[in-house]
Amino acid sequence: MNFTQLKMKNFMRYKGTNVLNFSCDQEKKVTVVLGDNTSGKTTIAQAFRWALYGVLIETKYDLKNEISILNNEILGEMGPNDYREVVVEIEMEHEDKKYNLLRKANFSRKYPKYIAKQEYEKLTMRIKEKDSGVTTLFDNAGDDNGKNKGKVDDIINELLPINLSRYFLFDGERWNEDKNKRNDIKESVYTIMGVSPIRLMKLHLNELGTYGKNGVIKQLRRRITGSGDDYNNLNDSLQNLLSKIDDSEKKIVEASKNKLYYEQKIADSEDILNANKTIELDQQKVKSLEKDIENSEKYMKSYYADIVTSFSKSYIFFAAPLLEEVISLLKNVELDGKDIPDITNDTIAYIINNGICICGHKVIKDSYEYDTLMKLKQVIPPMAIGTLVGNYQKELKRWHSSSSEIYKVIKDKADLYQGEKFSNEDNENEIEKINKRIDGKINFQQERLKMQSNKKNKQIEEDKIRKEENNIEDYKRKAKQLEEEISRLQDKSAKNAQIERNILIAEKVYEASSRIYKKNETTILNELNNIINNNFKVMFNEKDKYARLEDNYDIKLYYNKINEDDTYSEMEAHGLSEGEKIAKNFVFIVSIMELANLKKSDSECIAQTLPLVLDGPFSKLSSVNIELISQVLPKTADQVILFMLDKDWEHSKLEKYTGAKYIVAKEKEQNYSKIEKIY
Amino acid sequence: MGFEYFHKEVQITGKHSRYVDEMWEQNQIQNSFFKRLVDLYTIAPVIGLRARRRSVADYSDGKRTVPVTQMLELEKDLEIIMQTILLLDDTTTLSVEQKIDRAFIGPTTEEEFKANVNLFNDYLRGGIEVLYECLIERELTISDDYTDQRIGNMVAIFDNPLV
Repeated sequence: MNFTQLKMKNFMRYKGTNVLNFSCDQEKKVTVVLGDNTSGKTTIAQAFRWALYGVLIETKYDLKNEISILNNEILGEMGPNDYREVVVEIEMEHEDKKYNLLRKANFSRKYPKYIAKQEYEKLTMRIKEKDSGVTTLFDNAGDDNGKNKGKVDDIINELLPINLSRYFLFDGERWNEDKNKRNDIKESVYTIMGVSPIRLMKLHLNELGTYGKNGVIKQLRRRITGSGDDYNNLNDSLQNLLSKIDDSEKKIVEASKNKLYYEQKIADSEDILNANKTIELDQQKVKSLEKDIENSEKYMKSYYADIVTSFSKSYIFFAAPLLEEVISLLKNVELDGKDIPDITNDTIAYIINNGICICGHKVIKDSYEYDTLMKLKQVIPPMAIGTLVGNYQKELKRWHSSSSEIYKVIKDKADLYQGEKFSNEDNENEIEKINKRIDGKINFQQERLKMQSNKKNKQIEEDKIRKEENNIEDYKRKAKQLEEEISRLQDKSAKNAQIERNILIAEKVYEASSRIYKKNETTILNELNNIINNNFKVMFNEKDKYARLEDNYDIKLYYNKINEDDTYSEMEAHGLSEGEKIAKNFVFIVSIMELANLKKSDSECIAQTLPLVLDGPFSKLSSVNIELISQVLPKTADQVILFMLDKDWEHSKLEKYTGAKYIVAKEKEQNYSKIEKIY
Repeated sequence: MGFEYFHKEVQITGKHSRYVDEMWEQNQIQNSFFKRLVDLYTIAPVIGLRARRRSVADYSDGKRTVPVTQMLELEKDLEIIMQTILLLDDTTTLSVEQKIDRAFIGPTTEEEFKANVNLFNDYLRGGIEVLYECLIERELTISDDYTDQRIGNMVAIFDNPLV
């Protein structure tokens, strides 16, 4: 692609409108702009940059944020309410299209200060099809519908990628840079290679951070934890419980259905039984009788309990006749003879202990007296037998007298019990009669039987439901415990499977992209190095030195040192002179450009042929170099736009390649510059 | 002297325990003739003596134990019954005086003590059999005033001379 025209209005030191028409001639492809230092050559490069990318670069005169693009003269002419615009217009041609790029900025003045305030900025592009003449206009801010916002930027970046702008739009001040930053070089190479997306993908997958630790693959790996067996066992148990709960719930559903069925049947029976109004009274009577029976039964129970309680004391009753037997037995027995008045066991004990009888006689152990007393001791109870028997008889008599009481109580309660029993029997008979009457009327008996049966069945279903509900409670409790255990493992395991899959995919993609990338990169670097080498040879008079782009994208100069044994050793050249630094950079620029142009035809590549806009202090180079370099330049690009000092021009010997020539002059006693066309 | 009746739990075994089970169910007064087992224990020997029925222990399946605590509650009455048995039992050749001695003085040897206890238990078991016959086996007749068999039999036994 070629620049055809640059138009500047009030841009920086160019007051008013200034136009540069560039040569697009294939043979005379150089356009040169000559001027002194500070005359404004750099400004033209700035104008390019501003128009294309909306940016300015710092120069040693101005800091970026202090640069005002509005011409100072114009600013000075502005009143408090005035507006002035700065416009840079670039016309380009590429293939079958003409592009007109226009960036406009409107300014007011912070009167009375000499400070311009940008009010707005507008960027538009007009594209004209050469064949059809159809013109399309794009506003970078988007059209009325908000569509195509940023479209102009996109087109520009396709035609003149900003990544490469540091090379095709090379500013003077940067010639002295010793360090083409590695990343800049890399970026430009990558852009030329057109594999940036793949490179980014590689980066993202496995190359971010030290040893790729921040890359996707390593991050995924870090997330894998936990074991499979525990998870499986717990999960099996849980599934088991869940299916048990399922079963129980199904059973409940079934039983509930059945229960409902029976309830309905019971209700149906009740309806039938209740259907006839005239039996309502009978029904009530039956209910009342049933109530009576219920009460009776309560009484009967109570009476019976009383009977048993009394009966439990009946030994008194049964023993009574025995008393008579005892009396008759004891009648003929002389009990008193055994008694010695007021002699008790204690008396005997006293005598024996003291060893002397009440009669004064000594009582010696094992003597006749002693033995008699001992025998007597045995037959004298603590009490006189008579007393004992007397007591016994008294007790028996007492029993005897209470026995009739017991008998009476039992009889009374038994009678009451019997009364209730009879009464119940009557009531039950009555109920039966009434039911028969009812049944007889509409044959309810069958219905009644059915209802009884259904009531039983309903009870069975209710019991089932209760049982399963209890089971479910139990299962749910256990399941909750399992779930808690599983959730501690489960996250790891389910994610594990997913993570493993993702890692596999990521690794495959990484492998593939690495292969592709490596292939491309190696090829390109080799090509570039060849180009650099050639260019260096051509552009410099240094037979002993050469340049090389290292694998890490450093450009180094080397020289061969001759060893004592006549072998060569490669040595890096340090302490480069100004000229050498410039040369180094120059070589690189040119080589990149050449590479980019070479890649134009490759389908993998998105690079276009680029024009070369060089703001070069050739004065730093020797005249020989200037010539050499200048010879290379036309080969580098389809179009070369050079800014040079007057004095360097002659040395360049580029006249024969030059299709257009301009001079930038600063008007005497003026602050602004003007471009004048030579040819 | 020193020998105490009814201070040791008593076991009713074999068929007698089975009879007991039919006449008494713990805490089920509606299914029983007696409130407590000790009540049966007290009544049965009297009935046995009345009916002059003694029975030896049967050691087939079944066992019912009369708790000592219950016996101690009725100790006095049980002693009366023991004395009555000792006085009225005819199975020995003892004279009346001797019977009086054994009843009121009490046993002087271990042998005597055991013999008395066994005698009591014989009448106990005999009484259980009689009660079983009268309360469980007996069918109500026309002369019974009551239609409930249990009550009818309880009342009937009161009227029964038992001899």
